[in-house]
Amino acid sequence: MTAVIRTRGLTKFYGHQRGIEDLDLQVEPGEVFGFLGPNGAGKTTTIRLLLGLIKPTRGGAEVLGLDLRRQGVPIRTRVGYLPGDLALYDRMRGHDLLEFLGRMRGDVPASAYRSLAERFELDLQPRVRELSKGNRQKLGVVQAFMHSPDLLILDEPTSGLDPLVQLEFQRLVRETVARGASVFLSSHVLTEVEQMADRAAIVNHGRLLVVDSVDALRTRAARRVELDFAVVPPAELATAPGVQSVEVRGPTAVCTVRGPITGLLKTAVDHGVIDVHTHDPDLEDAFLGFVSGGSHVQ
Amino acid sequence: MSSSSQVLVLTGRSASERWRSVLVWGLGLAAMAAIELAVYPSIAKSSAAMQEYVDQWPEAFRQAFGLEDYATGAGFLNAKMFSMIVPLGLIAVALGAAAAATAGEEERGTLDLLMSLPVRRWNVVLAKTLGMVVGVVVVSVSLVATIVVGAPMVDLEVTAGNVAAATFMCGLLGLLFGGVGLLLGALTGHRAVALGAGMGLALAAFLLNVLAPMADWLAPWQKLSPFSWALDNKPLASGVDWAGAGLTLGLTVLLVAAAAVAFERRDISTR
Repeated sequence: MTAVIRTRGLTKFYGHQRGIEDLDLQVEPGEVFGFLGPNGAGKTTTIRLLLGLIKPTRGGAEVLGLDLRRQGVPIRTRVGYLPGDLALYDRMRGHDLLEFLGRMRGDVPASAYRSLAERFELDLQPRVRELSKGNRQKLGVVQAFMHSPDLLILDEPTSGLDPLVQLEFQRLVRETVARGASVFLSSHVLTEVEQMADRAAIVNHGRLLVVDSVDALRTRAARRVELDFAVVPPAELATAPGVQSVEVRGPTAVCTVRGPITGLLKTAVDHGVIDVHTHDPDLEDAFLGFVSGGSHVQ
Repeated sequence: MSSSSQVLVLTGRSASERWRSVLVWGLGLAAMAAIELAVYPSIAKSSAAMQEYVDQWPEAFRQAFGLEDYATGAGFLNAKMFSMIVPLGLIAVALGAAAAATAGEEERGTLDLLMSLPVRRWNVVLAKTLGMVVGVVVVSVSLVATIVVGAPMVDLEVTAGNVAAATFMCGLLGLLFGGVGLLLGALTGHRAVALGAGMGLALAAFLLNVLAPMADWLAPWQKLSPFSWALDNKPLASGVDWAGAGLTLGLTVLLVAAAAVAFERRDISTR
């Protein structure tokens, strides 16, 4: 089967500023592909290239087996897009907006967007400008999914959605993949991608750092563990398995760990640890290691 | 989805998006025409005195402001409405739509959503152009209707055909500067640039046409002003000047085509 997205040396410069450089990616049919990176890493640039909103400086891409430069219209017929910085026609009512977008796409039945709106408990009567940010985002989700596209390109899709709605969104993504579609999902939050994606790419400063399964990335990701001791943390923490660095702040040791934290905890327990705080891997922290090529010292 | 039905849907959408501007200008120009028609009887009564008064002014000045034949129906309407207010009003209608077309959507960020649809960029420019035409036509029709209905009531002698012809020429002027706005908007993505530079050019062209008869050094350049192409032949008295109309329309088509090419090549900017 042909790849859903295949980029070859895809590059975009804004003047001298690098948006994305030499991106080689392949997204397989039926997978949820995470596209991770801190803000400004080049995620949105890549997505806007894939939609033909901006033109590559060099390189190219095939989307759904079609050439990006020459077949933008047939590509966009089969793609659903949720912009990262979603702007909708403020004066339109929800159902008018969806009807307009549906007519531009051909025959999207009203039932298609009405059932999605019901599912997200979105009232289509008010004008866009009267909606909360979360409800606007729901409208964005509905328009991206309503024509049952073969590929969904979602830029930070859950921003502004409250946790319950995020769960419903994740269910929708799973159903979409189950019917054979593929999803390209950008995020700066690792946990969001963990919950939905099979594989993920990590970009930073416009360069691709790594592509791997989400499980493998999680194992490789560094996380921060804070250990409280009665007086002074023991020096042995620094030599525990997986520990990258230790910073001592009074009775507290802040450790950066890659992989399982079993070894660190054993050592800590042996030395009378009082309390343990772990933090979800913050993307900046977690993947700085990939930038400097492995070891990361604070 | 065939691209022609997409263009139709988008034309309707862009035209209806401009309903406020179209309503304000349509009612405004109609109201101004009604007021001028209402005062015409008193002018006509003292027409001999008025013509005498006007005749005292320098000839170039009279020409510039359309004051010759002030006492005739056509002369009166020309001086009061069609020498300045109608062309500039229709230019404003067109230019407002043109600046909102791609640049306005780009500034608001809605162009990302629009261009994520399976629609060709030049089709978007075409639809936005047609939306602009709809606005100009609606305002023009309301003006023509007001004058055609009102003129006989005050015994102002002018043919409906000539009123339509003069409005048509002014509408073409509007579309021409709308074309300038479309091109500037497609090139820069900035609404204010399209609107400001478009209006600036229109005013410069207007002044050139008005002042040229009064200043020898300007006179050779007058033929460069689209206002002279559209209005010099006095459409209110002599109907459509097809050469002037063709020239104005041809240049408009070229501008719209250039806007389409510019928009095809453009990187759509984020907010």
